[in-house]
Amino acid sequence: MKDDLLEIQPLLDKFETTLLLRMMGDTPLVSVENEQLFTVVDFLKNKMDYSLLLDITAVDNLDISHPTSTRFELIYLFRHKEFSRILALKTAVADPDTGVESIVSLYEVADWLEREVWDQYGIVFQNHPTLKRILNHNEFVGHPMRKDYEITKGQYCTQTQDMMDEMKPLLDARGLEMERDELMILNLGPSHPASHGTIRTLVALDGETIRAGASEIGYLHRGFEKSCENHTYNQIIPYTDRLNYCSALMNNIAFAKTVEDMMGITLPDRGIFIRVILTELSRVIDHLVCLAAGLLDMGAQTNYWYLFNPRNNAYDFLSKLTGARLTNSYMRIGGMTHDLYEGWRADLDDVLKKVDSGIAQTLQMIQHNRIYNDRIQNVSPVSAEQAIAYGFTGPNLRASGVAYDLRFDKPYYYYDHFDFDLVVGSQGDTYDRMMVRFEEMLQSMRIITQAADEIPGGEINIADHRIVMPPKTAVYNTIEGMMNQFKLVYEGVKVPKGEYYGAFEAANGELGFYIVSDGSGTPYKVKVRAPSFVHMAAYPKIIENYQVADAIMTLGSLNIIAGEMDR
Amino acid sequence: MSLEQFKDRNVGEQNYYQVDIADYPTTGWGKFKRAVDRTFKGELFVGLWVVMREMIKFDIHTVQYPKEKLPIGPRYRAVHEMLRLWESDTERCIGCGLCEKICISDCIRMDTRYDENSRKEVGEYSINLGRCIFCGYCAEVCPELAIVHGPRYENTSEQRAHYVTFEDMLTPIDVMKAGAQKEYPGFGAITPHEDERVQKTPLAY
Ligand code: SF4
Ligand code: SF4
Repeated sequence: MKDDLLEIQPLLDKFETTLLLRMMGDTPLVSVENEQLFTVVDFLKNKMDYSLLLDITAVDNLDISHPTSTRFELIYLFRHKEFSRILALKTAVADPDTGVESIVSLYEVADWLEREVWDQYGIVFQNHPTLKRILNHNEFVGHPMRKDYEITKGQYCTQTQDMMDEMKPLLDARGLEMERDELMILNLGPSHPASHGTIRTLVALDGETIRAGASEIGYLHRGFEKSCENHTYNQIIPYTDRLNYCSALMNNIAFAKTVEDMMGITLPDRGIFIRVILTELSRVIDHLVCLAAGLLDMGAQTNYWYLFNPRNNAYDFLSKLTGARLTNSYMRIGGMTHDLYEGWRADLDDVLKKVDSGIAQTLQMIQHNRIYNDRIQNVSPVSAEQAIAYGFTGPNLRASGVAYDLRFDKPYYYYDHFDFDLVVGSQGDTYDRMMVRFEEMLQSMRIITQAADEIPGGEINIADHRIVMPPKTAVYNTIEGMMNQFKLVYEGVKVPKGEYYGAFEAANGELGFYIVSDGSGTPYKVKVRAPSFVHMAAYPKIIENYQVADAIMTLGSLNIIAGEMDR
Repeated sequence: MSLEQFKDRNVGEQNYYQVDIADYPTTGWGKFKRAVDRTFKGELFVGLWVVMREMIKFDIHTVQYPKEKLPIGPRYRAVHEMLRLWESDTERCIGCGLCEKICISDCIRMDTRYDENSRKEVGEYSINLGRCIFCGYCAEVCPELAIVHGPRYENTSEQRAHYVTFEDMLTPIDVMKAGAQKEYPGFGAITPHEDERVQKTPLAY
């Protein structure tokens, strides 16, 4: 904590008159004046190397009990270029209609992040290029994340938008004209298997080549963050299943871990080891889906079955363990619902064996295959600098040669004790993005084997029954057990007042939860830092000047999961 | 930002694994050479060989569904069931309302009343299966082990809002009499080693 403070000393020295500092977990949180925001961010980026903008979000203080200066506050989260440190910036927004200065000119990723804040909270960003709705549809009236917007007030969308308001400036900037250059407009998606979810990308084509692209998302927007505000912490866990549904358990774990960190509780070792095993298994499943679907897009159907069959075995294992194949809802704040069942090790080993042989078979077929290599090598490369400017994390960032992995940079859950390698690529093209995933699966399996070998006995949940449900026998036989049970159901797990940002290395990149608690059993605000959302923002830019068929492969290799992107 | 810059960070004993990638050829000649190389190496035939191998193996993965069913684990969460007390054959549910309160998708509706002995009994009780997400929370919070998940996962209905009512879910009395009611081992069940202690559901109230 002291080091963290030392690190931001230059910032304090320079802007000492306006800064107010406190700690948010182990993240320094600096509040700045509205007018100074841009200069401070500029300083952070250029002088202090906070090169990765993680997220921007707002808090509506309408209902909060303690007095605040303004109704809306903005929170910016930055990661230092050495990756282990985060800095949070907070600014009070005096008037949402005037808002604050946009930082798109400093961080490219801010484009969609600011659009989201405007869409959800109605805070204007001055000088933003296209401040329009992103998650909610274009006919939506009002700003749903405001506390005075009723959660039941859904609105129907009756008209599609033609997206030319976004396409036109792009074409103008490239000196192109629809008629003169004989361009054709084509929709990739939203409802097409190749769009891997409901994502629409509008492209201007010159022959087969994409000259400009713009994406529209939000087809799967279901108001996850709004729903969080009227459910207790434990009730949110089934919702997190539906964020990245290819690795549902990992989202469970990430959310539970963030809340536990907020409360300052640590699981018993057995619980942690189970979580590590399941996290890594989910990573394997996620990568299997990504690669299998990517190969299928390319016409390599045989490989699809070689990768999907072991995934099915893994789901059988999860179904036996958690009670559901996909929507596991297995974690709880302070632990999980069940211990491992008898004979889990044999099942797990069997799954690993099958995954291993599936990967080996697939690699044998594609590694030197001319179609595979020619189609994806040197397609949509993203350089390391670009990837950071786009806010990439996870395998997509590592494919560009940036060795950032939270499991190494800020190890949690004993990751520093496991022996595994960090996988990096070099070019950041589609080939690298796919091959990094292949190798990561092998590394994850190494972790699983080590964790399964070393798993200790003992409890899986913490012992505090104000947080985890008491055992059924206690509910039956003791008055305390019964009371704990009722209190937990009616009031939920009480999380101390405050705010917290927890980051987790998920299959797709850094999955973060920014949670504000008012001390009750229901979060005041939850914001998900969804890696897919950020990756999708870059997608229309990186497919430019490649062909339509390449764009499909690129989308597959970025592994955009609509559930997590649209929330 | 080069790889070297990241390499000297202190990440313990671990190594970096760099995805093996040859430099892409930039000249026309280089590209031609690579294309020839890849074409005549015969790797394309690996795929064909795999298909042949699988063809003669006759190892068919397809499950002939209605005739043949995949096994499901004992913890599996399918349509709910309501259990009865082993001692008295009456229903276990006491109408406490915890399941209704915890339900994430708000799909349980119930109301309770006093019966002729002034004891609380459950009047209406239904679950809207069109909304239920089979999360298992109702079974987890039930203090009486009354509501549980059964193994029945095949449902059809004429409309989305398909309800199951208390009577549908309750163990039929003849099954109960035959001692064939099954306890649920999944969400909210008692832990295995406690079986002996709660063999009979306690009736101390
Ligand atoms: S399984 Fe979940 S959604 Fe379904 S009735 Fe129970 S608590 Fe509600
Ligand atoms: S099923 Fe269980 S939780 Fe629901 S009302 Fe009955 S006793 Fe209470």
